[in-house]
Formats: sequence, C-alpha cells, structure tokens
Amino acid sequence: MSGSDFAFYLFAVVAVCSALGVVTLRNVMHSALCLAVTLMSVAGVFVLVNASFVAAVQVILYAGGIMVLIVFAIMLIQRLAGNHQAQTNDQWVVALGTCVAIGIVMKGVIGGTTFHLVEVPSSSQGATAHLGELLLTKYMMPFEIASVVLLAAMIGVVVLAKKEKE
Amino acid sequence: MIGLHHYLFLGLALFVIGMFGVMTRRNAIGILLGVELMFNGANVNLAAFSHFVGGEGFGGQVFAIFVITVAAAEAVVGLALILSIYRHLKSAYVEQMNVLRG
Repeated sequence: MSGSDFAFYLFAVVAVCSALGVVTLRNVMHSALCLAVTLMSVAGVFVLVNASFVAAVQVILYAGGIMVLIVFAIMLIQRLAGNHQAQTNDQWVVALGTCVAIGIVMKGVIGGTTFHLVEVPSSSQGATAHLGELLLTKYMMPFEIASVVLLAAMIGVVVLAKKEKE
Repeated sequence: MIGLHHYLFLGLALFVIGMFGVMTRRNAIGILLGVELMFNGANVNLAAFSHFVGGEGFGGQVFAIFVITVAAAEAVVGLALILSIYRHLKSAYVEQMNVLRG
C-alpha cells in the first residue's frame, strides 16, 4: 500500500468516525469539536485529489471561521447544567432506516456506473494558479455574486441579532 | 489503488451521516452541524470528480470553493436566527419551536 493510499484510508476513517461522533454525542460542544476534526480530515482528502487551494480554504474558512462561530453560539446558548439529556428525538429508527436505504441505493449506483476517467495532465503551474485564472476570467460573475451574498448575509445577521428596543 | 469510487463512497458516507444528524437531533445547533457535514460530503464529491474525470480542468474545485463560501453565509444567518429564537423561547430545542408567530 503506497503512502497516498494509507493517507486516504487514515483521513477517511477519521472523518467518518468523527462524523458519527457529531450526530450521536449528547453534549453539543463535543459534537462541534468532532465536526472540527471531520473538517480537518476532509481538508486532508482535498490535498490528496490535487485540490490544495480548496484544502487551504477549508482549513481557514470552515475549520477556522465557521467552527469558531458555532462554538461561540453554543457558549451563548447552552446553559451550564442540563447537558445530559438525550439529544436524539423519537424518529431515530425511521431516520436510520432511511439513511441506510439511501446509502445502499447510492452505493449500488456508484458501483454500477463506469466513469470516463481522464488523466488530467499535471501542469507545472499547479492547481492554485489555474484556480486564480479561472476565478478571474471564466467564473468572475459567480465570484462577484458571492461577494454580494456575503454582504447580504452580514447585513441580515446584524439586523437579526440586534436586541429589540422595547 | 485508490480510485474514484473510494472518494465517492467517502462523500456518500459523510452525506448520509449528516442527513441522519439533521433528521434526529433535537438541538437546533446540532441540526446545523449535520447540514455542515452534508456540505462536506458534497465537496468531497466535487473535488474527486474534478480530479478524476476532468471537465474543464478545475471547474469542480471552483464549485467547491463557492459551496464553502455560501455555506459560511448560511451558517452565519442560521446561527443568528437560532440566537434570536433563543432570546424569545429561552430554549434551543426544536420541538418547542412550534409556533410561527411568537
């Protein structure tokens, strides 16, 4: 087994195990920390598919931005006592059956499809330079629209989270 | 050898586990964590397809970057909503959020 194979299995196992921890742990703070572990291992998977810029964005934005935000929100919302209640509602049997069924069906679909694999030539520039070119030439419109989306989200959050003046 | 279907299975596993979390968690932030897991499953799929099937070279990675950006905006707005609901109800459990107009 080569090095990259071992790395993929390591990242995949860690990601799936901590994802299971996210959805089953009773303490929401523990779930959030397990999600941070999942995000970091998914960043490792991105490196393995020659997506190094996406891996960096994942670490900076997701594990470094969104996770900190979620931890702040949990600390604002969570009462210090009462973390021992069951966090799973009554429909977990149906949900488990549905998820397993969807997983089996999709596994059959993925296993039965023959993809036209193309050997992407590894150029000397690397993925990041190509991504930069693409983002500023071909995908410039979504790039600008993403900025507008972020601006709208910021304004909306400020309006939503303001204390009401009674 | 690690092929395309290995990455697709990993994306599928993350997506399905996230879906289970969205369907069963009682805490609103727990549901948000499940949604983030689903985003990551989809991103793994996108990056794997971009590497193995090609397309225009790196279109899948550009898509993944935009998914991360929009997920950040969505998580922020969702957390602001949960915070303002918590101010009213003093609770973050979704089974108590059953009135459309408080």
